[in-house]
Amino acid sequence: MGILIFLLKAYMVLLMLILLLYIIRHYIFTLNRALGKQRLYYQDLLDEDLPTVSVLIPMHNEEKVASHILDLIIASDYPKEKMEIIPINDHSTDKTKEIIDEYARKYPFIKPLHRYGDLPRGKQNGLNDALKIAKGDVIIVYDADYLPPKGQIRTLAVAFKDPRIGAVMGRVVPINAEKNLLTRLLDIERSGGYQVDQQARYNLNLIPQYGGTVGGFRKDLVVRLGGFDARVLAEDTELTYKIYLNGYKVAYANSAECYEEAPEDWNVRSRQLRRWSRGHNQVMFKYFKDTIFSKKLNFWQKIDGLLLLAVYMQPFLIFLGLMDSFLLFFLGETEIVNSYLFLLFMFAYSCFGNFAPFFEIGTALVLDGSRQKVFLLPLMFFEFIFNIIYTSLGFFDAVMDVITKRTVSWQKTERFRNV
Amino acid sequence: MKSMDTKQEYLKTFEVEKPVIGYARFGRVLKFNKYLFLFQLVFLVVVFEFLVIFFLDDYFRILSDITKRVLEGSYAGSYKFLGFNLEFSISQGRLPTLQEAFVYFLISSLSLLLLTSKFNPLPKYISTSFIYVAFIYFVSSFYFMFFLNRFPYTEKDFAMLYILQQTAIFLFIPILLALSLSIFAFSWLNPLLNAITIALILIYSSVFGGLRYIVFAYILKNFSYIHMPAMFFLLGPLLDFIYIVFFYSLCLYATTKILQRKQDTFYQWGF
Repeated sequence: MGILIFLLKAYMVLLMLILLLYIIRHYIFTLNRALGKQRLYYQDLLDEDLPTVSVLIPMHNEEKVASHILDLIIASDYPKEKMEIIPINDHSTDKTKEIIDEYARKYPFIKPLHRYGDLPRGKQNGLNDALKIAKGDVIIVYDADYLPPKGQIRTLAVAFKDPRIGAVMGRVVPINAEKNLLTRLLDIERSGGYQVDQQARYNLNLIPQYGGTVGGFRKDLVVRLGGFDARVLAEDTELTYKIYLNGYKVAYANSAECYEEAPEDWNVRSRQLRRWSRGHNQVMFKYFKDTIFSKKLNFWQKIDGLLLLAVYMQPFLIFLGLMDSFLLFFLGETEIVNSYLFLLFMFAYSCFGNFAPFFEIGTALVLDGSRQKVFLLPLMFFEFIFNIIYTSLGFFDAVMDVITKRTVSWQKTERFRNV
Repeated sequence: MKSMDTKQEYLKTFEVEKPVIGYARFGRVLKFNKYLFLFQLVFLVVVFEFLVIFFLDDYFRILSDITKRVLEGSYAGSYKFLGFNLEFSISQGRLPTLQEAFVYFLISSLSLLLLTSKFNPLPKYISTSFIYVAFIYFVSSFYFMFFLNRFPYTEKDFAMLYILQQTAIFLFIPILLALSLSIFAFSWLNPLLNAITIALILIYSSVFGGLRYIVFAYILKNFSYIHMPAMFFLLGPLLDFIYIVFFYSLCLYATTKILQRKQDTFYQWGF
């Protein structure tokens, strides 16, 4: 019994140290973003010799949103002779195919890729196929529900003038933030994640993340690195690590704001969160060792890289910590230093917010000038248990993927837009 | 010629788009006065920690007096912690009967089944919170059904644990809030605003923490120890964080207002 209690307490201490590390990381990010010198992006670079661009739009049953994104990309100010649009129709059973074909008839730079039959479903598979036909030097990816502004493709593509840049990422802003509590909470979370977290990581030359949409990458580099792993659900996170481990960088364009449709339903959100967690943890299992031993990353990039890899494992560790503290409680081992009292407080401080603590989101809202939205911060309580449960389930899925080597199937996020 | 046209097109676009961007939030930073930052960080921590330490004995003495008046049959005790002699009053609690434990076990099991089933009509964010509540009661009732006599706490232990928890909350509030709020140092109003926020949180915490203790003591006396795990894991520090973040958000509302009024600060870019 003595050994069991020792192990339970040791886990608590370990968890506290991990959570403390995350708090320190987020505090440094917040200080840097709010008060420090910001790293200039490439938006002021005026160059006539722009790279050729292929805009890929993965689509699966996107009839509600397909025409919106196609209209906006057609209206883009990027020179049409240097741009092609490849909508990737991935086994759609609604009118997505017809909509895309109609646009392709009107605009010769729209070159649809229809994927049916035995071709495996999934974003990563669609992207791999599209890379085979894409002619652009730079690939820009938008999910189908996104609404890119006129000048955004240029803003993103111009970063590739810098030969060290392997991928670029813009800022995601929910367009339906006012819809309900969930969309409001996701809106403020995004604010913290992009305005503070991503920009600070870019400022500090750490690892800003390529997010798989509102972003792009260098085609020849990704092809050379073997494209996307069909078994990994988080192709974006995987690409981030591939890029850094091969000596390239990800640029973050905080000015490249793009509207997205945030999930309006908690069931949809739970599936999305579980899928993200599963994919992210798959990447963690695949790249944890490589990140530690990489010769291309400096010390701080390794630290940030490892903490970023483990970010979707954190709720699972907290879940274990809760179970641990229940056991300690019923075993009568409740003291202030090594007990759940301190730990629960740390949980709350660290996790009052999705993967960004409340103070990081709060500072982002001040920087955004979003005065009313700050009142949503206490309501993040509702996400606390929700995130622990669904992110832990995603972690468990990833563990099973590693053990059973099973193939993964892609689950599309439901759209809510009224046509 | 073509490239010239393209360039003209860019410039035109830039001119058209520029006024549309209301303010360039992507590059905004707050004015950083490192002396004011350090001053308020040290000032807020030192002053409020001093106040907490100074009033800690008195707070628990007053709480003990009130509890004694409210709860019949309560007795007094004290707990020595880091040189403090913290007083408390508590009335005798009781263990649940096997029947009670079984009823709670049945209710929590059924609740868990319903909440995790497809027939659950509640939104997921409500459901997950209820799952947590049901799970705590499931574990608690299971324990009391099978290990009733091994429960390691009495009402006196509860009182001491509660004192430790409340003391930890009092001591942490100035540190956590000072760290979070000292970032805002673009005006001399910030330290004042931040100090008011921490003071309000401590006052609220004192009242809330006191009331919570009396209610918990009442429940332990009149109902049973079966509720004790929920008192710590559900209605403990997690609940404190809701009002702490609420007051933090109030402070941010005022901070943003000050920021938007100071035009030179609002348009400060960090490039």
